[in-house]
Amino acid sequence: MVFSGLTFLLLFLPTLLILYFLSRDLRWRNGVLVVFSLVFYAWGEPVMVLLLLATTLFNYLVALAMDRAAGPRGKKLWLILAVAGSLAGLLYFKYTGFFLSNLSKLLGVEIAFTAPRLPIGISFYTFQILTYTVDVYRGKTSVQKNFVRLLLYVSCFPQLIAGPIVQYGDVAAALEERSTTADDFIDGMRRFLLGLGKKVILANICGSILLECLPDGAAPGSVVGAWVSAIVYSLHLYFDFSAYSDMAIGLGRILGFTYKENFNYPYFSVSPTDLWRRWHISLGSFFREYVYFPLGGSRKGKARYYLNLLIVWALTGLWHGAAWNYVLWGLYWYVLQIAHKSVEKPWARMPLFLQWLFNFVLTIIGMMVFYYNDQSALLVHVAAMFGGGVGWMDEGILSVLRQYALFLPIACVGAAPIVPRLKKLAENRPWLTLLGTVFAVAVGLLSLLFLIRQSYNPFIYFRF
Amino acid sequence: MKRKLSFLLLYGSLVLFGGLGALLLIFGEKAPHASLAENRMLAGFPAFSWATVKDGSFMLGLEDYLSDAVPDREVFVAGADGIMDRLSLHREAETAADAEAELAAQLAAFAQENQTQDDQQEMAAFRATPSPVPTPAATPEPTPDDQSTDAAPEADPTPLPEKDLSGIPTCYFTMTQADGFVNKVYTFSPENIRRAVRMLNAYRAALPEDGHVFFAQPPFPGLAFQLQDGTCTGWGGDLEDTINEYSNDGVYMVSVQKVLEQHLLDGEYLYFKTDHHWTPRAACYTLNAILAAHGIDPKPYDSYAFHVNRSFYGSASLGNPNIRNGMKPDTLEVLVPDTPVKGYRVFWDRSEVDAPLINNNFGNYMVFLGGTQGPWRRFETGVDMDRSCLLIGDSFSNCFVPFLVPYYGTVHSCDVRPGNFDEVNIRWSISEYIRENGIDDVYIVYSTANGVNTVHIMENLLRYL
Repeated sequence: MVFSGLTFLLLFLPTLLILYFLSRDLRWRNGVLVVFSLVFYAWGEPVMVLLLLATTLFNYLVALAMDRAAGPRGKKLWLILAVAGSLAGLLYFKYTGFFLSNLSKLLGVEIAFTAPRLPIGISFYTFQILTYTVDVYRGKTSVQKNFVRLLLYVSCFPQLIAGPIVQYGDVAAALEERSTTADDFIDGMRRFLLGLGKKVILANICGSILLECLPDGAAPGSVVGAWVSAIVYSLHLYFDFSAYSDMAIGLGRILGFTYKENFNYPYFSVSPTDLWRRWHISLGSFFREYVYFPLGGSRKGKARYYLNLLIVWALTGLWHGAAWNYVLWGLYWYVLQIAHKSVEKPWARMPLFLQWLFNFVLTIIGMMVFYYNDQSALLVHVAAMFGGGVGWMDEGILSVLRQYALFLPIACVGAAPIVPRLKKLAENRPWLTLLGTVFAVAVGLLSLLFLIRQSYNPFIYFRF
Repeated sequence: MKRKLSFLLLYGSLVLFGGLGALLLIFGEKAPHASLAENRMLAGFPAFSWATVKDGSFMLGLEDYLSDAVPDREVFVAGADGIMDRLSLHREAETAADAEAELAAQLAAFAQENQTQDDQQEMAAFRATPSPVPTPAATPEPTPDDQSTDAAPEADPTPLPEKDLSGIPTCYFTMTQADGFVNKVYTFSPENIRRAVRMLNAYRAALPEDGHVFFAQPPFPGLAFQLQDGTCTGWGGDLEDTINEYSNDGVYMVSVQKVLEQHLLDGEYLYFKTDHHWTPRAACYTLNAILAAHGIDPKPYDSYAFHVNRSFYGSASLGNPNIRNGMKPDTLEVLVPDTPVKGYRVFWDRSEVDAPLINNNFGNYMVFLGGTQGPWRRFETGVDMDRSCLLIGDSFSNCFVPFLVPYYGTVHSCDVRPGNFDEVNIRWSISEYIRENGIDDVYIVYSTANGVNTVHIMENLLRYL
């Protein structure tokens, strides 16, 4: 099920909220939420919901055993078992086909293997459950003896299939005690409706424009075409993913959970390092806490630091998908991070606008690396961005620019940090807050109108 | 107070969502039904069983049902379209009036800025209201090395006497549901049919004596799939018979429904699942039915050689690799012609560039002709034949063209939809093109979305003739 589907909006969400708020006792609320979350997942994966249950049960049992184990050696063995067991599922479903097809090419022999269907959101919930087990091992959190609560943490539907990756420590207290105030409902619902509009209106229309810029995978016909299509794709990806995070955070708030922000206007960052503090923040935090720091971070000398970063970025790339373009994309950001570190001081001395501009160009190119499965098509596109083999302007893109002359600036404004400024402005001005609510409701109704018109709305990040 | 209002507004929107959902579940139309406004069948309530839940078809069906069962859905769609229009988010002029206005503005600008007085008179003639009889259109701009204009016959096509069209009845495209109920999916008004008949007669008049005009209107996949999923047991209609009865000799409209019906019921792969087009097999069956009806022994589909692409994702996947998640690819059979076919794109200034019949740079439906590329295409088939044909059609016709190769020495094509014929720079009419290139037969292949009921396309066909 998806947040931007009519089944969710018209049936699932209202029914859940009625039953949830009719339950006064937290145990009942947790029960309602677990049942609805499993239905939410099973709606798209009726069989694979068993894998989710098995992964959770496995980690639940291992964490209990780890808690009872005497001595660090025993705990470590349980941890290794938990990590290996959890990652085994992820590796099998997501990476076996990729590994074997490359091995087959390398050895020149045919290896028969039918890749299984990738369970929705497996990367997200595997990482989430690992944060629990690792934190129990580290002693950062106490073991959860109530299986339903742990299952609720893993399966809680707002963040189940496309993040943000919620670390166990962030919601451990809320699993045992939480409430929803009127302000929580107002803020959460407003955030959800705005996120819905971001997906249904901004992201989907950007997707349509992209199709006109690059019809059926055709190469851009001009420099302007190459840049416009790259920017439109970047906006599409950002709106699509951040909309899901907005809706997840909003729904979490309504249900009494506080999830951390996942995006912070990344296209307004001024360096590659800054970008990754603003884009998919929860994934960056996970890799920092659970991979980079355990590897030694920057404390074990320069060579080890570069190696650690390389591992983190290669994994970040691979996490997004079992394909070479994602590996390349991870390595692209690795190189940029290293390069930025080496010129950090002169970079910081540049005027802020130039810092933003250079970083924006690098970001847009990075998005193209992400977009293209075919590296030769990527090279053609990037060459076209800099005038390789094409003219400045072609009729097709001119027509697109004319057609969307009104929408494209609106989309660019939508990616700018306007809402936080308006929020600040609205402090002590209740009528402005009310106006914001009216706007959010109008966006919600408009989204409903668009959804009735066109109902197929998958999110890009589902496949991760 | 303002906080309370905020709460009530948001609570109200949630109640509205839930209320609408409950209403749709209880009172929504549970059986599939036709929407004339959208030219498609609206979804009914999906079958509920473990099998449909397990394969996900119940969930997808419920989503379609909730969207399609909204009362007065047309009003919502029109509302959303209106907003998109205000934001200029509709790609093409979608109504005949828009297309007319756009064309008129382009022609006016063209006439004022670029043309001599004589040219302006020609453009005025071109803009004249279409008549049942082909009107001489813009004269091609002569070029010093252009011999073809001189070689062309000077007389305009002589109109043949027209039958009395006043008795044309209303016709229907029908789907026979599993319970025997015959559902009228599309209605064709006498006025629309008369317009189509006059257009077809005009094309016939532009051809040599032994020439033919063949017309096909392939339905969209949504309807075809209903013959394969058991929702319907047959499809048909009386449009084709009516057009054949009222049009002049040499005009023939093939019933694509009759040609494909049994093949679909037999489960043949005639429409893509991830794309909105028919498969080459369906195109071939349709052409073969036309040829057989005219005493030509057609080449069976299975006797052609094909290059097979089993990982084709079409328009339903929106061409974006990021949203193909979970969709199985289609199989695309691309004909490998027996002869060395040379293809060209022909521009209004008579310049040409190579544009192959089969463009293997594309792994999708654009492999056929490299997609629609106006204004004209010409294919020298390499077949030792004197006859030539012109195919006018939308993208459904692109996979139809390769099957014409064995029967003609030269195949030409064009598409008169807005945006595909480059109306601004237009230099000669279709009838002049027919004369200059010695075309014997014309095929008109427009899908139901662009067919008899699409007034501006039918008018363009006549206007550009």
